[in-house]
Order: sequence, then C-alpha cells, then structure tokens
Amino acid sequence: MRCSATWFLVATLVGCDTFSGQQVLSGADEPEASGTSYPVQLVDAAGTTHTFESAPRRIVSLVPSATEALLAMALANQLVGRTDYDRMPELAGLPSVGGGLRPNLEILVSLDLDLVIRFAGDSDLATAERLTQLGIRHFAVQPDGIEDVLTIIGDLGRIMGASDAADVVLLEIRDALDDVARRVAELPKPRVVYLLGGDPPWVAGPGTYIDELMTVAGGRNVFDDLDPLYAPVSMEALLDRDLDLILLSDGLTPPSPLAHVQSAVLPASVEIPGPGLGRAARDIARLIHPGAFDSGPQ
Amino acid sequence: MKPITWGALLGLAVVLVFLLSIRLGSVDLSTGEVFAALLGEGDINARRIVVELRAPRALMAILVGGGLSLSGAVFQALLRNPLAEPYILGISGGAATGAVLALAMGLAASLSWALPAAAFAGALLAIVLVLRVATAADDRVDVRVLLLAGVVVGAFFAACISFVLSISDARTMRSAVLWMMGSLAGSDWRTVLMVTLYTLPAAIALLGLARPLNLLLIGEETAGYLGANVERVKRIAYVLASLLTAAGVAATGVIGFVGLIVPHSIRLLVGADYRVLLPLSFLAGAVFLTLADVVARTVMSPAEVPIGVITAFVGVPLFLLLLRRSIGAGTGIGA
Repeated sequence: MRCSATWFLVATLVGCDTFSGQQVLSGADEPEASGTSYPVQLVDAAGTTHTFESAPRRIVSLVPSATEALLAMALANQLVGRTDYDRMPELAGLPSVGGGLRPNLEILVSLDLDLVIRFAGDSDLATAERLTQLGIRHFAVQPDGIEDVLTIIGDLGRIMGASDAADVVLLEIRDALDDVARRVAELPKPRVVYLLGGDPPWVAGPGTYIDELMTVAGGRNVFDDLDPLYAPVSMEALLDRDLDLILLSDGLTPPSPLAHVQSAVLPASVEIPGPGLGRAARDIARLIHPGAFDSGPQ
Repeated sequence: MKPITWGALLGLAVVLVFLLSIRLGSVDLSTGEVFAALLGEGDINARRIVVELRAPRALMAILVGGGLSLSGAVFQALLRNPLAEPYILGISGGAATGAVLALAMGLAASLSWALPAAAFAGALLAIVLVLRVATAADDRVDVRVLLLAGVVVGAFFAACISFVLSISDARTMRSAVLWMMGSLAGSDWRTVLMVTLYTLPAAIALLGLARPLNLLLIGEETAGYLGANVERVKRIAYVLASLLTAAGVAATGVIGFVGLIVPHSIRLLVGADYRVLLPLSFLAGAVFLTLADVVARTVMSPAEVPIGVITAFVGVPLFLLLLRRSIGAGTGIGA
C-alpha cells in the first residue's frame, strides 16, 4: 500500500507499515466506526460491565437470537464458529462448538476468539466461569421479551461498531410492530393459547416473548395468569378457558379434546426472539385477525 | 496373575489413560504440541486446552472413578449384598435434591459454588438420616436396616426432586436434568483440589479397613470373636465410603455403573480378599472412568455424550462377558 505524501513525515517516524495497516479501518476487514466511538462501555444481562477498546474481530454467538441479529447487521464475517442449532447458509462452512449451552470449550479456545455471546442466567453458569478462567471475553444476553431483543440488537451494534446497521434493523422492527398494532387496535381481542407440545401440553405464560407477540398481534393470552414463564397445563384447564384460537408450535397437531377449536401451526422461526420479531408479530396477527391484513402495504 | 502384577499393570494403565486423555479431544493437537503445552511452551491456546481443560478433567476422572469404585467395593462388603453400589443408600438422591433446590431457588445463578455445596449438603443429610434410622433401635448398626433405610430415604428424595421440578420453570428443569446426567465437563483445578482433599484421606483410611472388612464377610459374630471392633468398623466404613461418594457427586453429578461393575470385575479376576480388592478397585475405577470420558467427549465431537451412557454402554457388555466366563470357571460373585 502507498503512503500518501501528507503522511510521509509521521509515517517515517512510526513506520510505513503501521499506517498502511490503519487504512484497513475504512476497508472491509474491520467494520466502519459508524455511529460508534470506542471505547464502548456496556453492562450485559449478567450485570457485568464491559469496555470494548475496538470492535471484536473473531466472535462466536451461542445464542441463536444474537446470531440472527449479527447476520441482520451484515456481520457474518466476524462470526468464526456456530452452534449445532445454527442452520443459516451463511454459517454453513464454520466449525461447530456444539450446543448453545455447555459448548465445547476446547473448540472455543482453539478459535482464538475476541468475544463469545452467551446466555445469561443459571442454565449454564459453568461455561461463563470457564470462559473467564480461559481468558475469553464473554457477553451475556437474555432474550426473554421484545424489549430484550431490541436491547441485544442495539448493544451488539455498539460493540461491533455497527450502530448504524443496528438502527436500520431496529427501525424495521419498530415499523412492523407499529403497523401490526395499528391494524388490530380497534378490533376485539380473541382468546388465544400457544401450545409448545408435551403431554399435558406446555403453554406460554405472561412475560414470555410469545405472550408479548400474541398481545401485539391483537389477541389475549388465556394463560396470562400463569406463574412461571412456561408450564404444563391440564386438558381440563384448556377446555375451561373458552378458546377462540389455538396456536401450535412447529410440527404439532391439536390435541383431540380441543379438535373443535380453530387452530394454526406457526413456523419454528417465530419462536426465536430475534430480528425477525416484526415478521413473527405479523404472522401471528394474520392468524388472529385475517381481515385486518386485506388491504395496505404487505 | 499375582495381585502385585495386577496392581503394577493397573498403576501403569492409570498413567497411560491420563496421557491418552490429555492427548485426545475435539481439537486436534499433535503429541509434540501436547508435551510442549505441559512444559509451558508453544501456542497459548494449545496450552490452555491441555493445562486448563484436559489435565484437570483427566485428574477428576481418575479421582471420581477411583473413589466411586472403591466406595462401591466397601458398600458391597458392608451390606453383604452384591447389588450394593455407592448410591444405594440414598446419597445420589440427597445430593440431587440439594442441587435441584439450589437451582430452583436461583442460588446457583449468583454463586458458582452454591450448586456443589448444596449437593454435598444434601448428600450429608442423606448419610446422617440413614445412619440415625439404622441405629434407632439400639446402638448397633443393623446392615439390613441400613439398606432398607437407605433405599427408602433415596425414594423420598426422588419424590422431593420430582415435586420441586414440577413447580419449576423450564430452565431449572433443563439445568437439573443436565446435572443429574453427570458430567466431568465442569472440572477445573479448584474442583480437582477440593475433590482430592476429600478423596485421598478417605481412600487411604478405607484401604486400612481391608482386614476388618475381610472378617465382616465371614459374619459379624465371627469377626467379633476374631478381634474386630465390628460396630466401629461398620460406622467408619459407612461414613467414609459415603463421604467419598458425596465429594464425587458434588463435583460431577451422578455417574452410574462404575461403583457396581468395577469392584465386581476385580473380584472376578483376583478374588474377594479386600486387601487386594480395594486398591485394585480404585485403580481400575480410575482407568475405566477416564477412558469412558475420552469416549464421551470425542465420539460425537463437538457435542458430548453423557458419561453415564458410556459407562453403561461399555461397562455392561464387558461385565456380562466377564460374568459368563467366571461361571464357567466356578468363581463366586457373592460379596
């Protein structure tokens, strides 16, 4: 690379290579410092404060929703590994680190990472501790609800120096959510349940991502009084709740005692709290209020 | 073969499986790279993989495998029951109840040592409870009552686990199930040190009980005539074997079959003299679990197979083969 004349004096002091290297800053290798100025300071979902001096170049995301967020921001080049659950074509050539919980630490170490995105919470506390011991930086996320997803996208955008891309993704999501909310605003709220499978079937309770989507989509979750996030409920309770519509997880069929209630199967992508949440809200709203989407854009 | 030959062979095997265990893994490292890493040279990531991941894990397999096998052998003598194994007296149930409670109450999320500590406390509770019941009538430990009390206490804890899990959320349930399947994946130098501090003294003390345990096999009354302090031996053996098991369970979860199959295999090979059986059981258990762990983490890499699956898949056919052969040879399996 050529050293420009203006830089000549400084370049001879520090060494030309250093500066030719710096020109990459505006190139494809490192994301542009668009909307992000380093150092970036952030608190993750586990309460740990992180300071990023520059954009991480080699990362692995153990959390599908974060992986999707990174892909939506066109940051696939920074991902150097995937989990067994990531089936996106962009990641097909990458080595797998196993599951998102209890990933294979040896492979993580061998990938020479700048950053691991992991689940917060106690599902896999051991991994967080081991990563710290091994000197691998890890950022915890907790994709529980819609707001969490938006936070994750914004945070990842700042960390990766891609705040502008994050803003575009966030704007699209907010537009889609607003559009859905506007269309269903004046309509009655049908009584809906979301079945996740199992016998007795598990349902989504209040505070879950699916509950929020159903609410945005103009439905009323009949199990909004459930205590834990997800729980199995008896067939009697289901019959008792006077259902208008049953939403079923991918691959399920409605239980026979509920055969008289209208039901619809949703694609598995709906359940991943990620950048696709605007689309997911629209998919669910179309099932709850088919009439509301007869006209207008999309 | 003489017992001393067996001992030397198994001792050598422990060293070999340790080396094998730090040589093999999901990431391909050459023998040269592994040795360089052990000497603190070479690539930093190779050093982390060998020194921080593989070495503590191999040592943990040696300690827990040896400990479970040794305590299984002791329980078989103590209870005079060939079905006895380290978990038969409710220790796994107590430990799992502690672990599940720590998970359900969210303690495990904020304190990393809460899970093993709660599991250990649960195991201790089970040990004390069973011993108290077994000595309730008079001061003597009736091994039949001990066995019955242990099985019943274990069943009670199993019900506690089911109850706590049924009112927990999906995350707690997933963590609990993963824990109960047992895994050596969490081994680091700190846990290895903790388990060593429990395992070594307890194992050495148990090895010292070999002669009175031999006498116990003849019968408690005869053992008394021959100068053994039967009550003391029974209590010490029960508490030490239980502590040994509890330390292993707290660090790695419930790993089955080792404590049942290994001592019986050794018994079939060298006979029922506990002076030989106990040390050989420890060594063989160490070799067996270390090998099982190598298989568990390489066969489906990058994913890991639960180690209990490997100990059963490999251990059971091997044991049945040995059992069939010994019937031909006329060796008894009884304790």
